Amino acid sequence: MVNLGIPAPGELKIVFTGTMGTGKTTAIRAISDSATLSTEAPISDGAMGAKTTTTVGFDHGECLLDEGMRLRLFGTPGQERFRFMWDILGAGAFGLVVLADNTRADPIGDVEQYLRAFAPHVPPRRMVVGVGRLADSPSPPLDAYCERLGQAGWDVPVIEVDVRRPQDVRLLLSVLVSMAEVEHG
Amino acid sequence: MADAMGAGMHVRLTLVARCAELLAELRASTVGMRSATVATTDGLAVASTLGSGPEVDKLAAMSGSIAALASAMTRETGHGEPERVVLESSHGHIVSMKVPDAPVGLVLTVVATHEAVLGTLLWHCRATTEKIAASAATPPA
Repeated sequence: MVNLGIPAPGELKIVFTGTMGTGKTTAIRAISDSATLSTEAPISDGAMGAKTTTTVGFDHGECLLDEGMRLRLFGTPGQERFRFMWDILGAGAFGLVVLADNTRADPIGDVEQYLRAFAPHVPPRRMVVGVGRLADSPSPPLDAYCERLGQAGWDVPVIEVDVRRPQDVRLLLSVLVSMAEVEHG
Repeated sequence: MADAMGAGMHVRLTLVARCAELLAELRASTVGMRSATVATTDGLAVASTLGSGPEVDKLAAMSGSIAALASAMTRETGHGEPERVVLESSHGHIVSMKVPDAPVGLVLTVVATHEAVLGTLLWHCRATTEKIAASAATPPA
């Protein structure tokens, strides 16, 4: 398996995934310290509201956390037909961020699909879920995510996130890194 | 090709039919060609000599990815726009190139054995993308 990004010591590789339109590219742009790389193409079967392009390769950015940890961030395409990219990007990942769009029909089911897809690469104790658009659709609440994911055997933190706010995205990453510290503690 | 025919698809059916014709011609004119596929730049199959099915859908998605990665690479290195991606493998060549100036972004990907002469293959691929571009530019009758 190709490993796009074996991190140097003191660096951690983090993968952002989730359904198309959950803001993976936006999140990586929001918190990266320097210019990010993205690989977008126009959506050919019709725009989703204001969204006209989608990631078909991967996103890449880097950021330094307050804890002094340097993170290499990779964003996946959301659509299932790019599953081969999920495996390429998942290889060697330290942690996984799954983004959800709460306005979708079954956002918890969406999240489960990505947790399962990345389970061969990342252990559940290094996965975190960020739920967006809760203001537009308060249901299901975060508790419902924890309950249903827990029942399915995914004991992962679920946090509300607005991917446009750097502090929100940093919080998700801090949670992942602190989970690592507990592990190494 | 269920994906390409889906509701709201912006690739016109006449263009899909014309692509299928051109791909059949391309395949017939080039020795050693195993398959030829046209996909949208976001990875949906438009037409393929392989017909339809999971194999074509996967090839279409990978065509979108590799075209985007090639563009990212030339962009990041200040190398303009990619002409084509030529992949040499133990079994032959895989060539992927964007259709120039199409109103919808399209990528042609061909898989060829060692029997195919690379220069000839590239020439035929270029000619095919130009024909697809001409067809895409023609307004519907």
